[in-house]
Amino acid sequence: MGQWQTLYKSLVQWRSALLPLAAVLSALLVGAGLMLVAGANPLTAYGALFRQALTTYFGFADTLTKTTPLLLVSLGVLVALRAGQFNLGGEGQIYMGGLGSVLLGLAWPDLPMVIHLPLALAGGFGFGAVWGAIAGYLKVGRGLNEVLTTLLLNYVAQYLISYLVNGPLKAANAPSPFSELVAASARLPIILSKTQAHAGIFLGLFLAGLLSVAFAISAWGYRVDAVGQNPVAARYAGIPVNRTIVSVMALSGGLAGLAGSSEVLGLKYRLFEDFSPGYGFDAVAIALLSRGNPVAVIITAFFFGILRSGANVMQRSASVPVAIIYAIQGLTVLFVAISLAVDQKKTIPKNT
Amino acid sequence: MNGLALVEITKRFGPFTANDRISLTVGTGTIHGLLGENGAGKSTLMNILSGLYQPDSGKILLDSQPVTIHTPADAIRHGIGMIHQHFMLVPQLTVTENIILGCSGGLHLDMKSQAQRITELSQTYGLDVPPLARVEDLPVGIQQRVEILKVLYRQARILILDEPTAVLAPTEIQSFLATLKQLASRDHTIIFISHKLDEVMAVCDQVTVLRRGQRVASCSTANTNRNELARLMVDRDVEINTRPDPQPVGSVVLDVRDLWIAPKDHQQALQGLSLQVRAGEIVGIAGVDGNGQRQLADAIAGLIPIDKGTVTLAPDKTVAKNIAYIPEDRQKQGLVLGFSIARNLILKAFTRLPFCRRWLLQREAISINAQQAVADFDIRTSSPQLPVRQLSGGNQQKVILARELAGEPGLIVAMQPTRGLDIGATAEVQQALLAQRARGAAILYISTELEEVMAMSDRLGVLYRGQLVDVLDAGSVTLEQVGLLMAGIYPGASRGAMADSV
Repeated sequence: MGQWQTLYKSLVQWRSALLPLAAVLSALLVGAGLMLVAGANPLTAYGALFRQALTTYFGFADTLTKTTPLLLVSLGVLVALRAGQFNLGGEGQIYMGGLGSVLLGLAWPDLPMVIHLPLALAGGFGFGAVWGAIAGYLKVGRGLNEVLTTLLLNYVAQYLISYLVNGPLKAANAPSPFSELVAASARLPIILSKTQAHAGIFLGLFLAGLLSVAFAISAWGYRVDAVGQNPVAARYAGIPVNRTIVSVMALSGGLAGLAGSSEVLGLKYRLFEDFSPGYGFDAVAIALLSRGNPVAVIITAFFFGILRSGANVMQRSASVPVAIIYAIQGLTVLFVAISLAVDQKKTIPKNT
Repeated sequence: MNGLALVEITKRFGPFTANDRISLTVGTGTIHGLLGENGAGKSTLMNILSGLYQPDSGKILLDSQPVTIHTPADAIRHGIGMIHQHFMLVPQLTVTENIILGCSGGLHLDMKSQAQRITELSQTYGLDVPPLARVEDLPVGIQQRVEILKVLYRQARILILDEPTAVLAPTEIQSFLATLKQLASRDHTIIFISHKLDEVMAVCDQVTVLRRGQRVASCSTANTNRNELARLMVDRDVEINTRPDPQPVGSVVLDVRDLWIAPKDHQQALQGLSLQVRAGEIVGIAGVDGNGQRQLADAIAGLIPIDKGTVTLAPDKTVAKNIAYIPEDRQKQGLVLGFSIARNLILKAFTRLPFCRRWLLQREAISINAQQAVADFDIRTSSPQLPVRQLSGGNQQKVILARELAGEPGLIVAMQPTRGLDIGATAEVQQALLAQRARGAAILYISTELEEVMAMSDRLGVLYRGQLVDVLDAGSVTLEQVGLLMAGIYPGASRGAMADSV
């Protein structure tokens, strides 16, 4: 009996780590099935994908470049999730963050970098935070579901950027809609020479660590978790639930905004139309897959970064359509949902 | 023989044995009481009988024939119907629609003739219901009749009733028990699950007591008594609902004057309620659920806005800062189920010293606090780090008590503090509150359990439709008097109120 129980306990302990892994493996397996249907060899395809994304210098740099915004915006979605809020507005918050950073990056071109870069990043955080806080306020003040408002605010942000880069912010003599280049003093430094990999990844790693510590030992983390897990009990205990939700949504939007900042300050140096290829939506999958754990987000975001960076090579060398990669991402979400359901069924004790 | 027999039923959940070789015989046309504390295995046994669980071993015999019941549909086919404590009715549908739901085949539905059938059925059994009324507009007593008619309509011969009186007013309970006897006289077999000993003694022919998954006794109610059954249930001497010794009271701690709260979301309003609670006394509030208890408690705790009137707490600052509030739904309102015991204990004080210093939680202080609480309140757990989700209801309630009673609160608002608890845990909760009274706390004790609130209180108010109809000396008032007040029957009550209480 004792041994049996120990085994059971350790399984329970590791389950939160094992189930997402199982979900990812299942998705890759079904993805392999899809490749077979498409007439490609899955081993060759996956081989090409991971070899390119992990073992080549430029491929690895590209993986880091893709991981950076994914990591930042996923941390944002995760923070909201811990407070019981579904932030599907990462995409819009990325756009707003990009806008904030570009505005500050264009202003004062003579500032020293130690001031200008943090200022430009703060601008991105601030713009994203406002976008998140709007949804938070609409939820607690007007009773509108944040799933809906965050999703709809995406379009507002996206078209606002389109308008701006076609009009007031359009660079002089630009052939297509984009803004002027931000000042060199506001750019994130390149960390691997001759590649596009930039220092934004360090910002992401630092914030993941900071959040991890905050959730583990700070009173703020305790408050967010209490509100997220049982807002009614939190209110009965005197915790300002509404204020917590609005501030967490602001933080969530701010982190997503930083993802936008890292794109414009680290990669493109200017504002484009539609500059995010759906990072805000990938982030929902990443945050769910990471089960509210900021450190797990690093690994999961890196995995999604690999998929994104290796996909094109896979298409070329194994003639597997890129769409398969998107299918695998979608399948991952599906299997995560299944694993969550399995988990819930197992942990609810039988009523005697 | 005729009737139902369970033979050596065993059911295990993992290492836990919920039913350990339980045997039970119930003769046709008799009422059999099933007694036991929470977790004794009553519900598991009945869920096996109604097809929700499969036993690991043992047999079910119906009229001496072995039967297997794999699904609730099987159970209905064998004439076994279960009436759950929480009604399984669709509030928006009519009585007739609820009763025939899922049984009428074919495409054509003649609601008129169905309603006629329901009327006949209800007259046969003396269970009057308005067949075309919406269920949500009916009082709970009538809703329960609909539940019973639902299983009778499905030709059930054996009725299992799970804590059926928990939701009823005292006057409704009397007529409900009479209905049960009438059903039995028509050769229906009834299994009556309860922990209210008086009701079991009043209505049952036989009674079986379960304790920790085992049958500890089966006997005729004629050959036993209340005290013996209580002892069999808990295996130790416990005293509940004992009247505390009178003690001198102090100054007014809570002064509620002319409190009005508008109705919202189908919640009862409060209409000009006034009330005073003094230090060292327990003021009980009796009343059927949903007559404004929640609004009163929430308004005192400052959780909902007041439309008119005042709630004044003693000018002493410590009282206003430290109100203990024991909410009625401990899992939804009182605890964060995924948090450990230790973390739940700091839910109110996590921003203050000693638990928090410079924004960081102080692990050591939190742990010491938890160990102290576990010891002081006898919370049965392997570790203070266990999620409260895994605790029994009684131990969950003790976690709330430990948190709320910390720091000597001047005012305690206790809302249904023993709801769903077994006798042992009930006694412990009541003792903890009586100790606070002795210390000089002012206590507002709100409960729908009439006997309990009468015994625990120094003074007793009765809440009916958002008004306090009377405040009585709890020592001299009788159960019948309070029961009538709870049903809205008092001098000056409107006729409508009386008609509804039938």
